[in-house]
Amino acid sequence: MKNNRKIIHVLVLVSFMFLALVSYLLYFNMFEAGKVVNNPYNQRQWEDERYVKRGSIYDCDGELLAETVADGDKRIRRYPKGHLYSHVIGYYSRVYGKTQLEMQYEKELMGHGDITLSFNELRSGYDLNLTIDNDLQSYAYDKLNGRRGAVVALEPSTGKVLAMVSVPDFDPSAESLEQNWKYIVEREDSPLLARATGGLYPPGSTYKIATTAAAYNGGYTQKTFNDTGTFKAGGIKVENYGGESYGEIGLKKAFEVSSNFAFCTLGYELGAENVKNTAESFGVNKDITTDIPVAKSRIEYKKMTGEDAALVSIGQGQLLMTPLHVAMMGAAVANHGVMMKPYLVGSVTTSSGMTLSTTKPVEMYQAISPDCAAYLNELMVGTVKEGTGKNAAISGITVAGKTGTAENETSKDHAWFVGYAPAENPKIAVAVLLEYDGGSGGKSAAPIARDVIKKYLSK
Amino acid sequence: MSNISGAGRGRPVVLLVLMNLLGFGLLYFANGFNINIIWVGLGLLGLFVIMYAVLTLCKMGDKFIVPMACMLITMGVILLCRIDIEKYGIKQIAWVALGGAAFFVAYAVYYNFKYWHKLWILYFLGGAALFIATLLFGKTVNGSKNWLQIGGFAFQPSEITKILFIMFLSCHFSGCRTEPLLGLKPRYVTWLGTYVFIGFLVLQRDWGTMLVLFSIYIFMLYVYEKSRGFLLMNIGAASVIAILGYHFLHHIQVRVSTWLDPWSDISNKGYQITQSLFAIASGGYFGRGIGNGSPGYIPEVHSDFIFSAVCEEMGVFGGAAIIILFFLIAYRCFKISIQTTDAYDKALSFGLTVMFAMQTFIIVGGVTKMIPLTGITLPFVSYGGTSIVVSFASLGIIQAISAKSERGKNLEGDASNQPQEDQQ
Amino acid sequence: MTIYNFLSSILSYVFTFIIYLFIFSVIRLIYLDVKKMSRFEKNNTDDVACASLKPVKSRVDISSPLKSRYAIYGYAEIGRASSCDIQLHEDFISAKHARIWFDSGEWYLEDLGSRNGTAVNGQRIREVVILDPEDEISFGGLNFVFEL
Repeated sequence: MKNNRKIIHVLVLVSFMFLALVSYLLYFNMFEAGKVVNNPYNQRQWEDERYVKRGSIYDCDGELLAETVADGDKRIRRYPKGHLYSHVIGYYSRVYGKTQLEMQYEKELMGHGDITLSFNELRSGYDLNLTIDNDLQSYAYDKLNGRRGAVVALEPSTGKVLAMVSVPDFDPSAESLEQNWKYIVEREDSPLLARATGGLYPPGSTYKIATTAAAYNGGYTQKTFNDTGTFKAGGIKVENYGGESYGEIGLKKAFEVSSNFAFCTLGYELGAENVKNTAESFGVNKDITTDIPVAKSRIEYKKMTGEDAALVSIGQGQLLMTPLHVAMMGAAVANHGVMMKPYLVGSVTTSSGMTLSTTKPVEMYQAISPDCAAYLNELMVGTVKEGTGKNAAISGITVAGKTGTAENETSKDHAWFVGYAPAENPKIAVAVLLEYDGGSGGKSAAPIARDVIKKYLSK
Repeated sequence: MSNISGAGRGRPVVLLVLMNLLGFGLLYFANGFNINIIWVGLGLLGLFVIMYAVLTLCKMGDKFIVPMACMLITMGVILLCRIDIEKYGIKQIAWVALGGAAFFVAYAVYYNFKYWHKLWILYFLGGAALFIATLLFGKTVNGSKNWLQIGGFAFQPSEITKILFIMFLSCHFSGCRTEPLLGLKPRYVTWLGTYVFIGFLVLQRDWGTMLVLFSIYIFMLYVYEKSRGFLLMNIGAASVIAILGYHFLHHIQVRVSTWLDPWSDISNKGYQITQSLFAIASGGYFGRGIGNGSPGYIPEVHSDFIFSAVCEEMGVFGGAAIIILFFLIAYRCFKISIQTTDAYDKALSFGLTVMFAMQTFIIVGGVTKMIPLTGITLPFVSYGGTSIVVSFASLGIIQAISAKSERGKNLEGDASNQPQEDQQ
Repeated sequence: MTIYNFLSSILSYVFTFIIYLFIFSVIRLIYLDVKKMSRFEKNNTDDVACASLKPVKSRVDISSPLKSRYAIYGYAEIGRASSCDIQLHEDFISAKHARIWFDSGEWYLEDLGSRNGTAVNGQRIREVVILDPEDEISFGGLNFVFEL
């Protein structure tokens, strides 16, 4: 029967169609559902609020940073510190969704996984206790004084984030967001960008820390350079900052005065492969997973040449890093070469004060050897004592640091400083970035880092 | 071999009963221990058991299709009761009762009346009359003019037209109608008839039904038409019409663009599909549990979008189960179609099966955003009197065909057909 | 989370389990059914011996119509039960009445302890007998001719 054979063909086709339906359903659930569920238009996300009071967020001393006030059926998320934590805690809006900690810690804040049964009474979610010190945070914020940029302070031995400020920022309260959204989104200086974690900048001369580490490993510590002020190779030409030339100098001196000539020469001689590997040993091109989303620092070349290596060695070219990552680089030197995973949430507690979980410090990489770290420490102390970082010096405390002035697509350079103190037993590592500042790192950024360090150590 | 019967045979029915008991027990709990829910649930269960008992005792052909359809009904009714027990749940159960009656009536009428293959003109005129009545007196609901009201009783004529259309096609494809009409070969008469039906549906903007009817026509052409050229010509014509429609009808452009990217306009054009996707996504594998989800956010959740609600509350596995059940039903129906020796029965059961399969594919694919969304009911699961009654009636016809062929009592072949085939 | 929510989320797993068990048991039954059917449909293969039973005039009243011929492919059970290869829906036929099978060149018939007995050419059989073509077999009074 020919018809029967064709009916079987149709049956086979129908089987494939239904198989496609089931496969698509499974695919959707596995790979797309997570994204879809978190869409702010999904009203289900706000349903829990009917019987859960979202948890509060505190700083390391128990100072209130965010709380939910229940008023009948209405729930209002309050941020007592206003703008200050807009890029750390993020916002929580029924219209625009959630960001940063409000998003990443949704489950904890809503007390998911709590199986205690109750009869329609308002239950409390879990509270977050941050590692951030509110005093230091607001102090750093004041020191930035409205200038665009970021300040990140870490505890080198643990990776605790002590302060993380990004400017410009915005009022994270849902009410204000919903009123000003269009204005905020259209503002040219993008206040929604969390510069400390999401902004990618050329690190400039702060990156010479990594290049020096490569030089140390390659046995270049005794090398001397005849600094003529201008490095030339292939099609590139790099001048020292301010058009200086330093003559016959060693590596230590070259680091302290931040000689582009010396470091370009080093990078050129080390070669593309070596420079790239060093960058990756510091975590460039790798994801940093922490409590809030962090942009991936990257070094992007299809094929990297010696000239590219020379540019990368002074933190230019196709190398981009986040301020958090630059701070982590400084902290790694302070922590005998070990880069710690940064974290913001110290512990999660119930509303009655019972601790549910405490974050333990995690080592990410051994970025450099302890000997190399000691050598770099010497050079960074020298930079603050008698080099470009003099403005970061504090009487009575040995500060180690490195300045940076990064060229970009505009005529106004980014000003950088990364450092830590006390050099003998580092308690704090700080990175400061001033976006499109125009000044040098030593002049603009170093004083902010100095004040932040001083404030923290005087506590 | 001989122990096939015995223990295993009754198990699906036991599971069906268990499912109903648990489901209605839960609804009883959810509705503040309203004892009426238990009675309603027991009523539904009684209906299933009676249907199954009559089916097996009277040897009415295939024994698998009805229990599977009952499982689909159960899942649908439990969800409809949970969405809105007054508005949909109780009414749906009443419709199912009516559908059960329609099942047996269709079975008896189809089994005993012998001249179905001669009435093609009636099917055509009946279908056309329903269309014209809808166009003239119909109510417009959700942009489609496809409701007809007679007295206090409203129904969707397009559901009935589907059956008439399939019966009309079967007359031709079974070879029961060979004489030309007005100088036109039967092939072209059928072709013309099909496009008239489809034209009416376009006027009603009932794209879903149109798609179902057209695919039935194409599949039947594939199985029966000897000339490949005619089949390809029809597919070609359909593609041309589809492309023209896409270029000139704003309505279709919107459908396609919301299918490709519903996220850019969630609050407006993409609202339906994104709400459906939110529901499916929040269900996970096992669902949030009956009564724990929020199907209320999905528009038309009781009819076209019931599958999304199933996925939210019974999970992706629950949704997949619905697809598997439909597949098994389609498999059994195709098998009946293959086994029957009567040409008209074969064509008709094939057409009805393709109708179930395509309807499932179009709406499930639509609400999951696998294909562009065209509104159509999910047979046996969606709320809707016409849909339930017509689905049950179609099942009754298939069951009658199955019974006929199992009893070796085909229309023309009588008893002598069977052995001839056997000895080939 | 209220008690209802909790109960319902637990039940969602139970429901999934029941539905799939249902699907599984239906598939199993269909599989067994198809397997049984396929014995009938393997008629094209030559290596299975074929024979048939053709109804002839009987003295008993029959309530349901008989086919004009019942094919046997190598093995067949005759009886009222639905598991039988040849089903005869008559009260005087036992659930499992008799069986006929082919073995190394010969066809055999055995009564399976039926109430009304089986007879070949008018002789009631007590043990397995060998069938010859054109033998008249009577199942409780219902007569057939055995044909090759």
